[in-house]
Amino acid sequence: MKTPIPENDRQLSGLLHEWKPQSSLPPRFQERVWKAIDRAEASKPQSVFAGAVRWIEAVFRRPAFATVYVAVLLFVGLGAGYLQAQDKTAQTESKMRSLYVQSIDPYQAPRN
Amino acid sequence: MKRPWLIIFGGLALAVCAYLCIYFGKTSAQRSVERNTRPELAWLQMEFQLTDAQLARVMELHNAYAPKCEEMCRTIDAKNAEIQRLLAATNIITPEIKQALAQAAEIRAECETAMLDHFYKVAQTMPPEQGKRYLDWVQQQTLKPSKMMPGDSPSVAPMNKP
Repeated sequence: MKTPIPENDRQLSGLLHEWKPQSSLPPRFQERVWKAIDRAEASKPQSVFAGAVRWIEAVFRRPAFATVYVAVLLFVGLGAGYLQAQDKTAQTESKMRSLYVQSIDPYQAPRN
Repeated sequence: MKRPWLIIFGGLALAVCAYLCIYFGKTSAQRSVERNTRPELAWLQMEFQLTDAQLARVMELHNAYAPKCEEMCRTIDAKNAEIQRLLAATNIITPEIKQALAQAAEIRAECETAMLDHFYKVAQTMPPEQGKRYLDWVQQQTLKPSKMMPGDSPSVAPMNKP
């Protein structure tokens, strides 16, 4: 249920509507506000995970680190692919050589 | 997504792509050989750089040799079973054992001759250099004394690349 507005409040409301602030904002007001927010957030106690995430993000913002990271991963991917392929090739060749020899040599043919 | 995370996951994706490209690129020939219905002959073609016509001739020789090889297998197995039976029945060298061993040696000589004949025919279908390489390798794999025991698990040596 709505309570009736007292006379004083009505006058105050009228005054507020009429009021026009004369002074302008101080220079670099917004920047200072954001800095204050940053400081307040930084001073808050953080979890280990949040700290790690912030650290990772900070590190990967550095172009040199990001470049090295991508280059190392690319090298690891290429190297692992090459070594695995060599291993697979050697295995297959050995298997095929055995199959061929077994198919022509009665002394090495598989017995049932 | 924030740029650092884009770099982290993008780098990982790039590494996986690089791995797959290299792996599948380098093993494509081997996978194609494995998928073949006659993988041992597909391998022979790849290893000795045979043309399709040369492979067709090798297949012809191989198919003609296969029944002889199977027959030799049966003869060897039968003779070995006989020797085992004779050996189990006594602890001295009987004339029957002597005779069976002589027959086994005869069978071995026949098998070796048949194999050599097949190897020479196959080598003649290949380019001379490859034919020589084939003969060196196949003789080393089959005619060495250690390779002459039936039922040996084959441990086939890699061959010298030209």
